[in-house]
Amino acid sequence: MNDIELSGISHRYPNGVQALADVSLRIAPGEFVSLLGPSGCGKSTLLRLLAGLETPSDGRVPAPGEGGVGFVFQSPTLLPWSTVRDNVALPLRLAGRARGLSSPQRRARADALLQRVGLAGFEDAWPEELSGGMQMRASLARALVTDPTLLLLDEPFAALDELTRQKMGDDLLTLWREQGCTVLFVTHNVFEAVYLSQRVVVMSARPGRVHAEVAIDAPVLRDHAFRRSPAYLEQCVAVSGTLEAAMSGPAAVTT
Amino acid sequence: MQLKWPVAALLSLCALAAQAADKIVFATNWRAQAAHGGFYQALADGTYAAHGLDVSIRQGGPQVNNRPLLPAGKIDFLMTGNLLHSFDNVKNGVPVVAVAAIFQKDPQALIAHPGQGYEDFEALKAAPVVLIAKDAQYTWWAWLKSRHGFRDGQLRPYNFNLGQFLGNPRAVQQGYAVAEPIYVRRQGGFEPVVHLLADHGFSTYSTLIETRADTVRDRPDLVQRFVDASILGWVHYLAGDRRAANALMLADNPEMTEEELEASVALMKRLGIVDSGAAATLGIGSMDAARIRDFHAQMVQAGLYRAGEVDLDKVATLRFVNRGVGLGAAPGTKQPGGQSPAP
Amino acid sequence: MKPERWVPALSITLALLAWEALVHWARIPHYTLPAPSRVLATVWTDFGSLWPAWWFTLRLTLGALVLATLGGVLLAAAFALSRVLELALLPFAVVLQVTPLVAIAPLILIYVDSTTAALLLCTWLVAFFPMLANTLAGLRAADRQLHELFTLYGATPWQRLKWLLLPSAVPYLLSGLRICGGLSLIAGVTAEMVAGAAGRETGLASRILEASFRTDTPRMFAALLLLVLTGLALYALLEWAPRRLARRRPAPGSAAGSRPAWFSTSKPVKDTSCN
Repeated sequence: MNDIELSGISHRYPNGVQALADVSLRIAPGEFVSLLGPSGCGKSTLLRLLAGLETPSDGRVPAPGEGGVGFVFQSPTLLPWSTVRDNVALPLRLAGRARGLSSPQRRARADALLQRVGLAGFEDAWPEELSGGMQMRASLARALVTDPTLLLLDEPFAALDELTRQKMGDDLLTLWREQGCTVLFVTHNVFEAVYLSQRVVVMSARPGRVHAEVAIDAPVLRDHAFRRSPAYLEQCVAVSGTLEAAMSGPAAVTT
Repeated sequence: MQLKWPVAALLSLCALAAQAADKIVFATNWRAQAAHGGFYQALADGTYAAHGLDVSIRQGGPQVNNRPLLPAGKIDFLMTGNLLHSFDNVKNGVPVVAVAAIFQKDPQALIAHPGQGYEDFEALKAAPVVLIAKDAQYTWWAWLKSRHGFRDGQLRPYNFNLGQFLGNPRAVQQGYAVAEPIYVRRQGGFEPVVHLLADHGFSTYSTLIETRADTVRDRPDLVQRFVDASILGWVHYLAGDRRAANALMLADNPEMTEEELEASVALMKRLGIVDSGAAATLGIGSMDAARIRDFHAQMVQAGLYRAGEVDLDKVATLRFVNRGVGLGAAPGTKQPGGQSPAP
Repeated sequence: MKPERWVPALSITLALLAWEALVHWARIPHYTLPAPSRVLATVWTDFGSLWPAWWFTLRLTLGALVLATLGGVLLAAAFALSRVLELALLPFAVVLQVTPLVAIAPLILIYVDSTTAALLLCTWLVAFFPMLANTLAGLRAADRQLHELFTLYGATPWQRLKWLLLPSAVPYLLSGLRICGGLSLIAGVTAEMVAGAAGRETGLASRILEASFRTDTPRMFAALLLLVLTGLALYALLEWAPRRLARRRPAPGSAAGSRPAWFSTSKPVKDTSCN
């Protein structure tokens, strides 16, 4: 697998708003990177460009690796008229990922993934019967069902309460280590970005551009102990400061 | 004597004029046409007024059904097209009764294109298309089916537009023998074949005057005056100066023309619609109980009614007609056996 | 018992009793306003001639309903897949919608030979547009993010239609169906009344006309009652059937298996008013 290389990406919306201006980024395979920034900094736009949902006005987005892309939206975005299992299996049925899997095979894969996200026993439930956190887990399972090379998450835990959010974060890290995919995680929450990622890309707004990149110095295995450690808190403060700087002044600094 | 009637009439009219006029509403069964001429004449030349009646004539029309207005009390007198309506009323317990029959022959006819073999009435029942309107469909069409072998498969709804008939040489449609042929000649440029139903057993009276049973019971004088004035109106219309009456009809029905009215009057006279048969001796409007019974029997035989369903005594009352009213006013008629209208 | 059950039944019963009492007390003649008892008696005695007419009207209504549903849904699906097609054909659909049925029914009867086919066509013309409009709205109502999900995984237009657009459209479709049902009955009766029919191919409208021309008011009311009952039955069917379809098995550990929230039968309705 190669690095994901973004160079000179710019994007202007049809209404004239410059969402991204000359963004360059390099992500190593298997890395967990957060995109952190205020609203309007184009972090979601960048994610969507990488997913292939839109084409940049300038620059070229590299094609995803062989396994393709998995995407977790801000809301669970489950089909309300399908069971949880059918929702998770949906990517396997759509043309791009046909793979010639039979119905029992698809079912087995979906069930396996539901087990890994902790939704065993809820395969036949309807999305509306699940709590917010459980729906997000299903959405995560769906994103992983095609074994993607690149996993994109757009503020997935924003709507959840703090405790659920922390638990989901830990579970996400577990899944990431098991899958071995590259993860790009968009958030506006400093604590979350620092806890989860190996590198935080701080962006500034109007127009969206990379302000700074901060490498996180922490053990590979993150846990509750890390959350209470001084090292964690110091790095949160540092990243906060960078974020404030990004929100107030222009300057692009790369470390 | 020739002179006796006009003098007596004049004296009575003066007496009547002294009273305040009764306001009444008379509803017809179609837009104003020559077949209504006598009524408009009585209005135009003051005959109604002379009989102490302030009459307003309310037209009917293709989408208009004036008949429920009579039992509901919204009108005082109603014109109906044939006795079947009267039979239905009596059968359903609607308390209205016929008091005069202006037409001794029903002008209802079937018309066809010439040169299509329809000159013979028997050929009509094989026609592929017979255009019949809703009103007829539920009354005399049933008689045509039963007595003359017509079938529902031929029936097409007739919406009073000549287009379908004119465009299809094999089509047959209903019409008034004193009206439709004139329109066909004007719009289609040919003279249609006309088969009068009356010539084939449909022996009903037509253009009957109906009123409520309680009007007959409580105000017989009013009924008598209206009947007499209407009869006189018809006498004058057919024999005298009808321009004023025509003008009134043209005002009510702008689509009518003077030529059509005159042509229609000529047809009425030729076919003997109004003053043939008993009317020649007993006066226009004459009715005969035996004829009503006979017609009813024929309808029972045709399956339109069950025997005993209709109490024939309630269908019509003869007390207001058969008095020779109007006889002697037209040249060449028999001497009167009738008197002037007596209250 | 829940108020929903007995209050409507009670109010109707009271109204009928009041009607009966009024007719007797005010001595209203039966040819003006027949009492409910008389109307019911007439339904009983005239059933021999009313039943075939009722059956005809029922077949006409249901036939038109099915055809209008098929036509409306298929056309909406085609429009959803091809914007060009939609722009090309929508004007005609709108013209059909706004042209009053009473004006064109006689014309159709002239051009089409079979009376039943003509009446079916008239009814279809009125009923299909609400189905088209509602289904189209439903197809367009799918969540934007769900659309992106489908784009992400390379769905073909057909897959998108089958698995995203059509299921999204179901609540709208059901609303449209309820309107369509009512309109099918009304349009069928109107067409027959305006254009006329004869012989065996006649429905309750012809019975009403016939009764009116023969001054048989109780019979008019009897036929009218049957029409009303048909309309009510249709309405009940179209309300009840979707609920049965939507009832599903509850998932383990969840709240009682109630209807899914998205499947609301009170979706905003496109009330394309009828003629």
